[in-house]
Amino acid sequence: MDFLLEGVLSAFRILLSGNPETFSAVLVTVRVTTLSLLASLVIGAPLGFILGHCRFPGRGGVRLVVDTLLSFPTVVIGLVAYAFFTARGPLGDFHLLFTLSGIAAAQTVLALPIIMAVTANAVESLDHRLKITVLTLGAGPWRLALTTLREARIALVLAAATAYGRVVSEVGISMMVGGNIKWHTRTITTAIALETGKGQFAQGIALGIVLLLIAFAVNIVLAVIRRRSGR
Amino acid sequence: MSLLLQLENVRQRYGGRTVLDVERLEIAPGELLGLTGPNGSGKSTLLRILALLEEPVSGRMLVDGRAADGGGSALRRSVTMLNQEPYLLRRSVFENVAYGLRARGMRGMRGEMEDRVRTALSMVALDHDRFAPRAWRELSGGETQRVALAARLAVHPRVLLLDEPTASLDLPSAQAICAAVLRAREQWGTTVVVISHDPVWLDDLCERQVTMHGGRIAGEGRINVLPGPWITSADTARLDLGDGAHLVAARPPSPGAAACLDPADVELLPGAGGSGPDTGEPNVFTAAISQRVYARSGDSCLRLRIGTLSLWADSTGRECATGVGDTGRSIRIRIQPSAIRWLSGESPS
Repeated sequence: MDFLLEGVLSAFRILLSGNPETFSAVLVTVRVTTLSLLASLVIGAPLGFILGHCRFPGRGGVRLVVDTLLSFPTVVIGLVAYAFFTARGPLGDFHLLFTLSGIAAAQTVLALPIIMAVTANAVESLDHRLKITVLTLGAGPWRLALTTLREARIALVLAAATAYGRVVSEVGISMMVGGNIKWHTRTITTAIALETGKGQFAQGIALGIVLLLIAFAVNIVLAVIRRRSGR
Repeated sequence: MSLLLQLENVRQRYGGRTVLDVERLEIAPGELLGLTGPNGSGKSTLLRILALLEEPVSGRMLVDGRAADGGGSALRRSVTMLNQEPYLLRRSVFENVAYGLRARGMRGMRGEMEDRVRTALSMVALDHDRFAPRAWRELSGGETQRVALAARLAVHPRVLLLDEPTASLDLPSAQAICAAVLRAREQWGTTVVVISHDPVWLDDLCERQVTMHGGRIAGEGRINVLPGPWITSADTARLDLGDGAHLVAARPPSPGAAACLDPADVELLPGAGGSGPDTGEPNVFTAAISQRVYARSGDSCLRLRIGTLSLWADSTGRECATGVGDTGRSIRIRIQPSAIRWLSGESPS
């Protein structure tokens, strides 16, 4: 067990010394996860609103697909994204393979069902009087949608937190689409996998601590937002 | 006189069931119209159609003589509605009251918006400085209702539709709402259509009342609806009132039809109330007076109870002067069978 204790102590030494390799992986992780989260919110929140608010043929089927995608393995998404991004794939011309944009795009696919499902549930569970109130106060369809999403903001924050937790901790997509290229596409999770494989526990633990700190910081921010939102 | 709102042969159906069938309803600009009737009589459906929230399955609604099909945004914004249990957005009182103004593009006019919010809150007897910064969850039921009304008043509506706005309010809140509605009519010529089960409040507020039953308009003014079930024989129909008493009427035009009775046709018989024995004369009853309502004209109306039936009866000054019409006393009444009018056709179902 001594190696674990020594690993933790070494991890703090690495972090305090400002090890550039470690902080490169941290920076890459923050950039790529922020990008994918923003993209999934911009795309997923309106789609979730439509799914929860509108009645259209095949809605039940769409809900089933979205719910199924919630538990989609990240390696499968990585595999499909790799197939699309590779030079022979349909999106090969965009040269997304082994880039941060490529990882972010694939992670967006991972986060999208979470944002959509949680938003749809939140919109469905809103008070039925909201729509009549907003319409009779003169709102048009766009304002109705924005007001509905604003009323469901607590659930949206929860959706964002859940989605962020999923993308920040995934390995499959980052490894397959990003290629774990040092200084370039190496994220915290792929670096942990690599360093642990090499027997470099201290480096792995240091990165793990950073990952925990990121998760902690995100949750603090969300708690503040929730409190300010009135709950 | 020009008309603001007209409904012609408007029918609404939910799940194959007709819930509204209004042959004609006309509302003049600036009118204060009260809608009354039992639960399920189609009042709220009618209000939603007037609010352009629903389109009827048949018939048409005219606004200023033009068809309101689809309800363009300008038309939609001229009409606003307040529900019995209003919903406040999860924002401050100011943001709630200003919401309709923002929806009308008043975003950049901060000063005018603040003026409007201040005025609207004062109309419902709420102090702007105290209430505007409060969150929606910091309000009582009466304050919530008043803030919701202020949000409607802030947009200076042409038509204000109120669905039982005082159902769960105390007297001061109900009076504040009544005063605010009257002031809106006075200041902006707002046309008001209000649903209420409170006859006193409705009398205070409205110039005209329409009674609904079974999705149809039963009549204007305070009408007694006698829904039945009526037991029909060869040429008469009877309504069981309990304790062996029956109300007799002419045979209905169709089975399941409802009848109505004008309160003026309930004859209050002279004498010292219900102490005497029944004479056996048809449609003469001993009724208990449960309520006396004074109209703006100075006339009064008595709420009578005969077995299972409740009726309104017009009262004259004589009953008031002699104390015969006091609440809690009994009185003898007579209803001529010919005064019982059948509502056209069968009740929608």
